Amino acid sequence: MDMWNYNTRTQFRFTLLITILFFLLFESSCKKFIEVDAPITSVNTGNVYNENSNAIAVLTGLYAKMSDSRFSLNLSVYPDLSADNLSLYDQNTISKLFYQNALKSNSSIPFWGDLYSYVYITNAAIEGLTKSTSLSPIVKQRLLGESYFMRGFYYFYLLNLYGEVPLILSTDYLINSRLQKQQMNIIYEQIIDDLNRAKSLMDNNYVDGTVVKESIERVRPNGLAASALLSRVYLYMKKYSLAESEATKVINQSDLYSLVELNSVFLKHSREVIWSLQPVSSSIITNEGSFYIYSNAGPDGLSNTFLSDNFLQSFESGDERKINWIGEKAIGNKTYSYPFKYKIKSGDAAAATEYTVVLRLAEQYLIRAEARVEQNNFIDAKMDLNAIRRRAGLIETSASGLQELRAAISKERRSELFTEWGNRWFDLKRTGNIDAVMQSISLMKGGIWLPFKSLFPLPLYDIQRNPNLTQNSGYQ
Amino acid sequence: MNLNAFNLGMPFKWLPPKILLIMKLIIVLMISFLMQVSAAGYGQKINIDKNNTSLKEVLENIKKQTGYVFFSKDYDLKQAKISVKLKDADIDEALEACLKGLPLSYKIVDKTVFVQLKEKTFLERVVATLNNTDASGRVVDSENRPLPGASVKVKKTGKGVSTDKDGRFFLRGVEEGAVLLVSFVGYLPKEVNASANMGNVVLEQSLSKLDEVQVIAYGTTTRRLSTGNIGTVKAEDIGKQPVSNPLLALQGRVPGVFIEQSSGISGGDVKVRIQGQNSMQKGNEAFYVIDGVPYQSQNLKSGVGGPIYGTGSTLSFINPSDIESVDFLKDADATAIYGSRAANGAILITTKKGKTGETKVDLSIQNGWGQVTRMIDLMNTDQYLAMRREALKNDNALPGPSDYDINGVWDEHRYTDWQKELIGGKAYYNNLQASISGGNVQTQFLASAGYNRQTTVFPGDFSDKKANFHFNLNNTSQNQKFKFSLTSSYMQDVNRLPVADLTSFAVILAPNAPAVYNSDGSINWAPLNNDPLSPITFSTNPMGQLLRKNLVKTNNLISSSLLSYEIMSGLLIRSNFGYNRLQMDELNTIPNSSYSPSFTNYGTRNVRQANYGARYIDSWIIEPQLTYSKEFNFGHIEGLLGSTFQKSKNSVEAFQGMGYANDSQLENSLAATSIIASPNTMQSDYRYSAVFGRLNYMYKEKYIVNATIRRDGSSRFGSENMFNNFYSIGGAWLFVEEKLFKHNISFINYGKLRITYGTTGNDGIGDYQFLSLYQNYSTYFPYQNGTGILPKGHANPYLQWEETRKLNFGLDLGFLDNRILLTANYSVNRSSNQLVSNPLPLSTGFPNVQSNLPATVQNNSLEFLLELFPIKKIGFSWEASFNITLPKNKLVAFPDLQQSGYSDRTIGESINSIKVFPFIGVNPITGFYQFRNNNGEATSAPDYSTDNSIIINLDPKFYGGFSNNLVYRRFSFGFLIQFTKQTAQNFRFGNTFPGAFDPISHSNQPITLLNRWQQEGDIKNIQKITTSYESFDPFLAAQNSDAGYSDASFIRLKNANISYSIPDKWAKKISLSKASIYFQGQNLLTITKYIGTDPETKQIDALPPLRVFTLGFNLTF
Repeated sequence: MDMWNYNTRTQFRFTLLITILFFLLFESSCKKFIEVDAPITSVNTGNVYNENSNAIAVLTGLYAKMSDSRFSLNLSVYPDLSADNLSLYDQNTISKLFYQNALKSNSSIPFWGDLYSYVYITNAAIEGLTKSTSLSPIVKQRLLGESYFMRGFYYFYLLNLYGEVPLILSTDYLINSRLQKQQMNIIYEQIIDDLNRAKSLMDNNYVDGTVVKESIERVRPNGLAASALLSRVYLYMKKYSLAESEATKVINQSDLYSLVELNSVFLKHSREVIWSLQPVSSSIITNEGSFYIYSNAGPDGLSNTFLSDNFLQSFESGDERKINWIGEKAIGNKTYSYPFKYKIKSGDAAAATEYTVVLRLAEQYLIRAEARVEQNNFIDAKMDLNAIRRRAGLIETSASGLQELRAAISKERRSELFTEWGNRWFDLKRTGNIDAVMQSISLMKGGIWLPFKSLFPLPLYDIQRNPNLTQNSGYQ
Repeated sequence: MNLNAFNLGMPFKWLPPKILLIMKLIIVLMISFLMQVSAAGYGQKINIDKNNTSLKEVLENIKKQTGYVFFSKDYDLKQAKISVKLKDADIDEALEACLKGLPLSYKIVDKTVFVQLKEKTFLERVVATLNNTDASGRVVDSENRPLPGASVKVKKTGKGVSTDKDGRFFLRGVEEGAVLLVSFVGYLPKEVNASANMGNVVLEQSLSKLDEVQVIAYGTTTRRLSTGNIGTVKAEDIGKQPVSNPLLALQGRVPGVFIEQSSGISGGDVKVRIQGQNSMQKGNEAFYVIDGVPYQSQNLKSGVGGPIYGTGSTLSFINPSDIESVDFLKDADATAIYGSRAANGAILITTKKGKTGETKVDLSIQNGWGQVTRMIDLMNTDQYLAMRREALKNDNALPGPSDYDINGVWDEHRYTDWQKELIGGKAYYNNLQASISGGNVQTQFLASAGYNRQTTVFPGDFSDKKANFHFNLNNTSQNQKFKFSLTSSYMQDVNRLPVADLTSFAVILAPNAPAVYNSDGSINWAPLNNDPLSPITFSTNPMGQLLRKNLVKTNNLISSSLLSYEIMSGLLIRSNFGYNRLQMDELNTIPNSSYSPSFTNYGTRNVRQANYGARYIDSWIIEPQLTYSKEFNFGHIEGLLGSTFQKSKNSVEAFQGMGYANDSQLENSLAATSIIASPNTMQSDYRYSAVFGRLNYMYKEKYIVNATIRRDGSSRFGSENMFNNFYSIGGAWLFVEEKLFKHNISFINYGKLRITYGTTGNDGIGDYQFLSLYQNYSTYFPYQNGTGILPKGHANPYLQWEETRKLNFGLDLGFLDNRILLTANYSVNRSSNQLVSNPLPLSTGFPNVQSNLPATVQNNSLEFLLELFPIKKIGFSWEASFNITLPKNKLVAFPDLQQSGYSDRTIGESINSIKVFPFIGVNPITGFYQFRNNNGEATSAPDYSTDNSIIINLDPKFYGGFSNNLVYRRFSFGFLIQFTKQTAQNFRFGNTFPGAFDPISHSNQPITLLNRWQQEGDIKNIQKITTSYESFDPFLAAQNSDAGYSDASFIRLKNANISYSIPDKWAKKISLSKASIYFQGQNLLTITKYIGTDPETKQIDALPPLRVFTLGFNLTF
């Protein structure tokens, strides 16, 4: 008899039908099933810029991270060690490489990774904020302004530390990992573009954590911070009239800013501050205070720098900054001097009285003085210069003529802005004096100066991973 | 140079000769046993040369030659005269030759041959064929329960059917009296004669290992008929080991499965690798399924303070006593149907079920204690102080104010064996389990409850307590069409362990450090007075740690249910439903009092901290399926079609409180003035869905083909790659069933060749890796009182499965009536499309992105399992089992390896290999370690990028186990030996930087440092002792040299147990139906040359596995 009977055949057909149905239905029904919503505890690109509080938190997180990290300290110590302001107490490897101008192609130094990780955040924020339609317009505008400002700020440092760098303006790693270096003037144009956008998007108010309400805290950038940075950028580009006009915008805001007495400059609600970072740590108020100020035993492996004789000797007699901004510690028969702009070595951020200052009014006076000198407006230049000198307890400058005034301003910048944000190193570079100065200084520090050393080497890690990236010339 | 300073490259001497001798003796003994037993049964072949002799005489002759006895009741054997000539014939051939032409047939039952009249003549038979009858009957087990799905086949034609739900079968048109072969999984096959009404055909359950049920994905099979590479461990073996994590009872039992304990602490991490490590970075965990419910073996990380056992193994929350069997699915045939999840193999845990029978109560009480198995030999006070003084002398230094050990502050005559003091205690083990079970044909139930408590070897009151409950209910409808089962397991674990593993203190404290407690019982911070200027010299008193509280409460519920309905004969629709919730609440406190008074400024500084955590894994699964099973004349077909819907939610909430007013407020989170969320806080969803099918075809129980296919979708992957297909095909050939074998090689009675190939995937990359996520950036003091969130990394929407292709060859043999079973497997697994962190230039914002790289890792594995059953008698049995695995791991390909984050690996070598410096001893002039650099020169400062020229493979070279079980009357005795051959980092150069005294970590050293360089010209193995950093780099380099790695092989008597069951009549007197008493020991003896504490944990500062002894009773009411 036939085993393949009617019943079996029915079963087979039935089974086959179900099989086909199964696979047909699977694709459509299951795709829906397995698509998960984004996790509520961790926001993502898709939803972060849909809600005011999340979007604000991105920029807040960026400032918190900058404040929490050694970012400002690195920019305070290493360029000044590379230049002529700081000496090294302990022969700590990485500091020694900066100090003796002996960085190599494979030296692992900070800056690059930090700066580009911040650039990524600003790029992500700009992309997300631009696309977003659900944020309140006032919040969106302010945050975009902050983002553009921060991107400009970071590229300013990338450019001045490394020279030509890849100009990364998106978050797509497939493209960005193969970008080659961009010419400096194009990067400058981008910085100016970013800062102008920032200026137009942000008003002159300082805002609190809601970015809407005004605040006495100057811990988020405002429109004038953009002008202040812009004036510095124009100065570096030798666009003096533009530098002057941007500086003027800031200086003229006398309701917001004024020069304050020396020991109040770096205090929490100082009227000199254009933008500062709020402390966030349980044990450190400012990284600068924590690092430069010695423990009772004097300099050690942690606080391992002191101010160079060359720098100490550059002060005019009677300069109160030498007394108020420089501390001293005698160990045996040697006295070590250290930057004492920040007075507190350690403490709880909740009770902080000092903030890390990023941009301040004195620099704007000095920028404008220099811009005016270069435009042959010596009288107004002197007024600006003297404003700074007066605050330092010095008499009016005796310098006259282009060369003398240039020199006077350069000296004044060194005395005023030492160990702040790499100013001395960048000044030597942009004025073209670096080779002349560093020839002898480098020898004294036990190193040898070569012109290519004015740019730091790109990290080997990136050179190896980006086929289109080349090392700065001179580094092997 | 003294190249042989450490006997590097030790030859094959790691097996101590005595053990070898014992093993040899055991094997010789067993083989002689086997030979004896088999001698009678497998005699010589039959030789006859007779002319015109009576049949009776010929048969007598055969009887003499073979031992077969002949019976014939209705035929006079003398009357037939035959002529026959035979050479080396077997019994069947001989009888056929003898009875040729006679109207006789024969039948062999055991050793008896029945000779009878043929019922029908040829002609009659032709007529009979025309008059075929319809055979019908019912297949039942010995308890008269129907066996649905049993196969009934006409032996001659192969035509067959399966029994229906009631065990009934109906075969149309069968020759009356034809031989029918009735078989069913797990039962001995039976031959019966066909007739119209056959009544009940009773099948006996097979006691052979080959017929034991193996659980596979969505079904069961037996060893005899499976096509895949599956290893099974049964409840008996698990129950003999006093462990709280069932994984630890599986060590050394299954070839191809490597299980390693990371520390002796209850609840600690356990590493399980099935056929090696497939993935370089992500997910090497096997896929765990408990009663059909996928179970997450890796716990969530909460980061809350203490758990000193890492994240811990979630298998600790499964009660070993509830487990009926554990099946390890290794090859593609067994795992491909689990698709993207089972690339690392699958571990199926089946819990105990209710059984038909009278209601009975089982009670088991077990108590015991455990102690550390091995400690390291450390310096005593004299040796330590001499080393310290020498260090300072070599530095031209004098003891400083904080060199308390030698500057006169601490008593130089004091000696404490810190290992004895801190980890030398006894851990107590109590286990109480009770169960009630029973049921009738339709409904069976089982309910059990238990309590397990384990304390620690540390001083103080610490424990891990578990209460568990297990429940199973099975029901079958009267018409046998509808079936239902419900299983639930629940465990509550309260784990109070210290926040730190005190082993880390025990191996480092100076031997003359002060007593830990003052005479008044307070912690000795030595000295302590009210003068704040007085230095605290014992600020690392480990007892401070014990004041920190660590409490983890875990609740684990696993529940599953299976519903099935038979739509028509052979076609079943069924679905399993599963739910699992694993919830943990944690508390960790750091009171001021746990710090030295100087740290807290005599109590004025508030460093109090408490960490709170709550985490859970919550998942459910539904798997509707259709199964089809039918016996055709062209073979037996089984089909499966199913789908999976799974959803899991993981959640971690963890936060840290500070600013408590006093120590007693620490458990109250509301008393904190500052609360910070932990970065581990997260919630994630995981969804998973699939359709799958399996087709199994078997022809004549000789040829089996098994094919599976699965289409998988997982939420872990980006929108571009959500779905993928996996498949496998496997074939088995039971070659012994072929005539060629049957007739020629009789000592092999079971033989199967298997070959399987297929693909599986690995989706163990964590959730949401494809999304560009932002995470909390929280600081002690929030920026502008707001929260910060920052991008976590690059998103990769193209993330995909890692794919593992598995090829497996298997051979199964049974000899001498299956008294010897041998299983051999050779597998080649290749994992490609590796999910690794792909380095990117920092300018992209992050240093890497998760991507699939065309990197390939290959695992070869050669597995052997030899099982011996020399004695198989009731009341006297002996079983032995030996297994060994030879694994080989190889990185086959990796694009741009040198530029990647894996540049320390080497193509062609194991992914667990490292590169180290060639060690060439101590420079006799400088006294520093020396290494051979790239240019062949000796240097004490080798370059980490060029000079590490020696590759050391940290994989086990082979591993396995050897077990014996002997039952004699009321006694049973068993043991398990586990062995591993491997290389690991040792501690011969010192535990931490030798010579220095750090007030925080004092740095006692192993006694290997006694043999050190002391003056110019010394040829020693250990460099000059100094506290200066000039010797630190050579010290680090020595640890990273070939001499810093050495043999860490071990043979461990993992378990031994003995039990005695009291005579039934005694038991009856105390109204018990059964009672037994047993004694068990775990980790009893370890033979190793490892320089460190334990060769399994391979660390010096982790608690070694404990040696546990327990005494227990099993009572049945």
